[in-house]
Amino acid sequence: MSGKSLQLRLVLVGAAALALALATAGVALTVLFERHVERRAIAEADIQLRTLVGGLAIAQGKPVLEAPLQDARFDAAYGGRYWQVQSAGSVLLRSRSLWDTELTLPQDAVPDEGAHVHMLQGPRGSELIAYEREIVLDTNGVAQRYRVVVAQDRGEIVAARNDFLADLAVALGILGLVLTAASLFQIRIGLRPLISVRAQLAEVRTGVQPRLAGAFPVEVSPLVQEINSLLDARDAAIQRARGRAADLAHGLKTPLTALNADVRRLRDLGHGIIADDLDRLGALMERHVQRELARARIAGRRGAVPGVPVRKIAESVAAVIARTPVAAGKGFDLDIDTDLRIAMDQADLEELLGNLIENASRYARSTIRIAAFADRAGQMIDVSDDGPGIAAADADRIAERGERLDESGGAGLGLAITTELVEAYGGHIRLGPSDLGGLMVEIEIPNPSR
Amino acid sequence: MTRILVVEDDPAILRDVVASLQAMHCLVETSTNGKDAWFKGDTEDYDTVIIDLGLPGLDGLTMLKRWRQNGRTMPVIVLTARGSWPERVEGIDAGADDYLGKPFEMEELLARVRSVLRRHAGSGSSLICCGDVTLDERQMRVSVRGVPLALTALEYRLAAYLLRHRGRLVPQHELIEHVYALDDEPDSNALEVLIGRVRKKLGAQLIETRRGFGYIVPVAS
Repeated sequence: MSGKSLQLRLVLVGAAALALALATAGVALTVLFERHVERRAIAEADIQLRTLVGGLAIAQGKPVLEAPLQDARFDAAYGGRYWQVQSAGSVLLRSRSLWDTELTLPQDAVPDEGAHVHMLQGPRGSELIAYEREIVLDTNGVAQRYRVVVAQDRGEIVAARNDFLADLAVALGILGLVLTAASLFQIRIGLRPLISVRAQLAEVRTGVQPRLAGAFPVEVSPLVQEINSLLDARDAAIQRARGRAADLAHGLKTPLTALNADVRRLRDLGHGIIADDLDRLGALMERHVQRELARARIAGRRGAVPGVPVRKIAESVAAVIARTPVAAGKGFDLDIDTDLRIAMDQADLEELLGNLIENASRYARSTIRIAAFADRAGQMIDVSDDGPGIAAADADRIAERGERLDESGGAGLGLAITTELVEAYGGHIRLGPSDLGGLMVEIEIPNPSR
Repeated sequence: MTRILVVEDDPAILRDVVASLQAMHCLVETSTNGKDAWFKGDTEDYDTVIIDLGLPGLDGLTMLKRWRQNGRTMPVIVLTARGSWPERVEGIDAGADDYLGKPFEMEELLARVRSVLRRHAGSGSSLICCGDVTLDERQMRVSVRGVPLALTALEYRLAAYLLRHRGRLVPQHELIEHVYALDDEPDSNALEVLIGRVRKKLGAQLIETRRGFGYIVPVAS
């Protein structure tokens, strides 16, 4: 249970406590009720006993009942109400309801004129609550002691208690349901900040928002702060990695440029074979360095909502490429809505578009087209050219491994980096023929999943 | 003679670049320090400046921005080991004319130098700017925010004619005369369709329609 659900745990503990409380209340109320009914029965017995004593007279040395008790249950056989008058162990008078039985009173010391209560065995195995008083009557000039007892069947009290318990159980049951519902509601409200944290964390993961934000209760806000600190630490680590990658670039690329110069000098000195060999090794090192650097730079994180403007970035990148010799004399056709935005890190989108547009410019005869649009599933970016295009069989090979068609052009490396970038966003890259006549590279970036 | 300033702190690369430029019959001056280079670029006139971004004293981008703020317009080629696309975009935004990532082939650098020199020599007289749109009549191309557009011959002729006569209302028949060949009789809709295509590529607000009169590119835009 401990590992599964906080809500379930709270509900179970709450329900157990509630059940215990209601059961205790039920027992206590029933006991109180029973005691109350018993007190009422004793009070009634007291009146009946006084009435009985008032109706007693002594005739010929024996007590007789001159005025019978009104209650009919004293006269019906085993009617549930009984009385008896005895003296010195022998029963002198008893109610008709006792029929052929007698009440056996315990031999205990009774205070003068005092009343006390017994639990007695009654006729036919019934249990009685008996109220007894000792009285003194003048019998032939002698003060004779008599024990007068009025009894009632306890079954009536038990039945009343059981009726009460049945009613009480229904009432407590309803109360229990209401309280359970209230506690569920309370748990819901209480756990809402945690549910909010979870939803926000999902948004952070998918890049919809950078950090957990908003007001949280004092119990939850330390957790939120810790999570945000963790995210800060992660970002700082990414920044450090990027910084180190840039330093590595600087450290390796400058010597590689110097190496190129040495290769030229070697060639001028007539060491053509060594020069070619070094040239090849240098190119290989450059390729590795560039690829690893580009990998290290991939953020793969979607920026803040509503994302970065695709057209503006495509324009900046195209303006850079337009200045390079690969794009000399070639024109760009941008088919992108001004307000189209894409949920990507800006540097990633610049890298993506830079590689694709530069590649297209390299092979285009006159036109490079960049189109982007959004549909329900995500965003599409198409970069097409009117160059020679590629065979369908080559398309898969290039997209898969970023293999170069033209070893000198460096196009394949850009495509390999692009593929990794797109995959970091869970997207797809497709190569196919463009309606301009050349190659079309199509990128699909899905919307952040919830 | 073409005068070029090379700012590079790596002696091997500097030596190689200088030798190659001198072979191109350029007059080459060098600097290995950012502050010194900034002073030279700010006070002397060069036909091209080649700068490395990672410099002691003052970094290349800051130096470039300061030159541009002071109205120095000489073409600048940036050399850098930090050749990611965001850095290239940043460099061009700072005012660089071209950007070359290290390691580079010397032939590539020389080609870039020739390219910026050519561009710079031809610019000025043949450029018409109208807001974000630039018409380069010598190269017969129209650019929006530095991006040269892919225009058909008809689209180019239309855009060029309207930009050349910006601020003046050009009647429909005059536009048809100058855009279409003599024996090409366009139907009534063709011009409007053409205008629509050009608007889509150059921005919707560049060309205004004066219904019943013709079209105008306002000077203010």
